[in-house]
Amino acid sequence: MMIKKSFSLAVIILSLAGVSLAATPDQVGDYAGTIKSKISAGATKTNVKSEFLLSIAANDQTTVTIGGVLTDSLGGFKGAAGLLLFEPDPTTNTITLATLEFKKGRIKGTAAGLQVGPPLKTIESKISLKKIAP
Amino acid sequence: MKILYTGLSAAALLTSQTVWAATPEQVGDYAGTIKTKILSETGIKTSTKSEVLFSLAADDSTTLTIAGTLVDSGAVVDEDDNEIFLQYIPTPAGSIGFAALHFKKTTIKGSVTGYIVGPPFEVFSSKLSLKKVNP
Repeated sequence: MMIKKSFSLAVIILSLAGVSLAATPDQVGDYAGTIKSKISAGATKTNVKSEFLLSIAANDQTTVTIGGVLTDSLGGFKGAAGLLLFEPDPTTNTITLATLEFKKGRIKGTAAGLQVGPPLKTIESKISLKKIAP
Repeated sequence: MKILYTGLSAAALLTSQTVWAATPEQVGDYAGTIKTKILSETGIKTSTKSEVLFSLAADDSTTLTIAGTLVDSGAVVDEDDNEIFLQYIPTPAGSIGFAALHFKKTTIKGSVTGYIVGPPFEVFSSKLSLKKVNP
């Protein structure tokens, strides 16, 4: 075995450092819905559906709860588009980047990421949320 | 202003003691298409289809060309389970794409999410489909 080209995802810090991203007042609030994920490890593919709660605070801080479990997350929002970086499985080393669309009190999103194993697993997800508060 | 910090992603990778390498069968050149849906901050949606060339070298370095433009990329390949996680930087610099990909025989397929810093700020989701062309 050998180590792969190292990932320096810190590049995201640099890339967004000069970008002004902020949720609009009408985007701030609590959203509830589901995340449907396909988790692949070679021939083994698992479909998982979980409850997904997302809170966007006025200062753009995000709170994500998946299947009742609070997980780390970071978000960035601008106009109709948004980003959400989160750990789909807080019990393992996972990372997923979701792109979001805001539309009339709803959020739809697509996510791609990985779970560091071994085995390495890739994750493809669909997110569907509806605003529940305020 | 909101600045994303990806400490958790880096931690996910860096805290793992596991390393991966592509198998000789996985090493090679792949060609195909990426179909992308782009959402702008203004709410405008566009769809694009571009040619993609992806090379996975024996030392596991990667070369990724999208629509004729070379983009920075790096991959983690699981030799046992045929999974690839590919990170790349589409133009303009500062943008990011995350790709969750799978080898299947001599093809690679998967999903991509990412953003383009702009302006305008855009997010995108893509489907990638590649076929081995060399060796």
